[in-house]
Amino acid sequence: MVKRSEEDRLVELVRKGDRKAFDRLVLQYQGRVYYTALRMLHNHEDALDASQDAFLKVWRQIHTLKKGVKVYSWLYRITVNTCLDRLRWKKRHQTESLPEHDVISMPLWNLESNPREALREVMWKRRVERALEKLPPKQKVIFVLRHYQNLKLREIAEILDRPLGTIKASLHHAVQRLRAELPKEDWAPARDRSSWKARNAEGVS
Amino acid sequence: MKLSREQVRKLFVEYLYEELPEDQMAQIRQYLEEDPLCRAELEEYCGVLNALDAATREAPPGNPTAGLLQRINYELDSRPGIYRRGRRAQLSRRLLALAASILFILFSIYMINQWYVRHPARVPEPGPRPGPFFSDIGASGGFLRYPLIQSDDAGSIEGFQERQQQIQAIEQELDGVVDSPPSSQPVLAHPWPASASQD
Repeated sequence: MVKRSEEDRLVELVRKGDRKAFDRLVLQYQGRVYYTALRMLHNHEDALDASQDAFLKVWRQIHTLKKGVKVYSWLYRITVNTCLDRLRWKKRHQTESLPEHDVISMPLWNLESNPREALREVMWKRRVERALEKLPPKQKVIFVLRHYQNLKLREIAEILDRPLGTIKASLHHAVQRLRAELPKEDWAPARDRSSWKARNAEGVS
Repeated sequence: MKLSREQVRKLFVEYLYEELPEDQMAQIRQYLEEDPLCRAELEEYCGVLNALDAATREAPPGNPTAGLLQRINYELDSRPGIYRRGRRAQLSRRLLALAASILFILFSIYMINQWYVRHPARVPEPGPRPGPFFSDIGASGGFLRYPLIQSDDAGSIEGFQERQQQIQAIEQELDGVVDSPPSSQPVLAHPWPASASQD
């Protein structure tokens, strides 16, 4: 994590048109932006395009960034809006994408593992992805930011400019919907949440 | 204050994400120890989150963001005009968009007018006919004339001349009425009948 003062200095340089500082900003945040877009759009190419669009918007609109606003929260807002625009465009044009092989890695060629087990795992992952895809875009944004980007609900409310209560309710509905979408055999009820917490503590991708 | 089952169920997600204040977390923990049904439901939620986590946390193979910076730089270098920055650039972009919209609207009006000029037969029947005085205005052309015309060919020169002749004929007729000697009938000085005025 970058220190606040360093971040401010970087933004100030980008504001003045320093391309090197902008490159640093891109390198610093490209992972977060890309993974947010990937979870939203479920496609590597779309996620890359959305990330590119988001950073170009940052370059063009950096003068609108108010002092005191955190860069990453502003960047998340731009990324989320770019992804929502893309989803709307996709919905309007109804483009049917080919089955994905990038979000879900396919371990079928791994001869060491049992092929049947591997296939079952792939199918399960696909079902999870489908369930995520079915979420309404706004619920998906909130779920992705909370679950995968590990942002606090208050931060999400700030990013999306929505009341905290709305964010809480949307997240609750999203999880309930996912629970209803996924067949019960796909998720064994956990005895405790330590395993999930442990993975969660590893940080964002 | 003791929480009810419904209240606890509503707080499941926040509890799992540890988004509640510590006292509320403790209250829920205590409640869950006493209510095995509620605990089982929470474990289900936890299972769903585990499943989602395990299934989607994997990244695409390799470095997925490799080349992103190059793509952005290429875009910025190849189209500098589009990515001009600052409030001035933003204002000029907006002005340009406004000018383009106005031009588009004017062009659309012109095209619609042209279409009406070229397809007079498709024009719906005009409303009530105005007096002949206005008919010659219709010769200006375009869809604006249609409420004023008297005949299908009023837009043509022949039609215009015909209308002029009609107007002249009406005017001559009117002249004849004015010039003719007064009839033997007395002209009433007021609209009431004579008997009424006597009363």
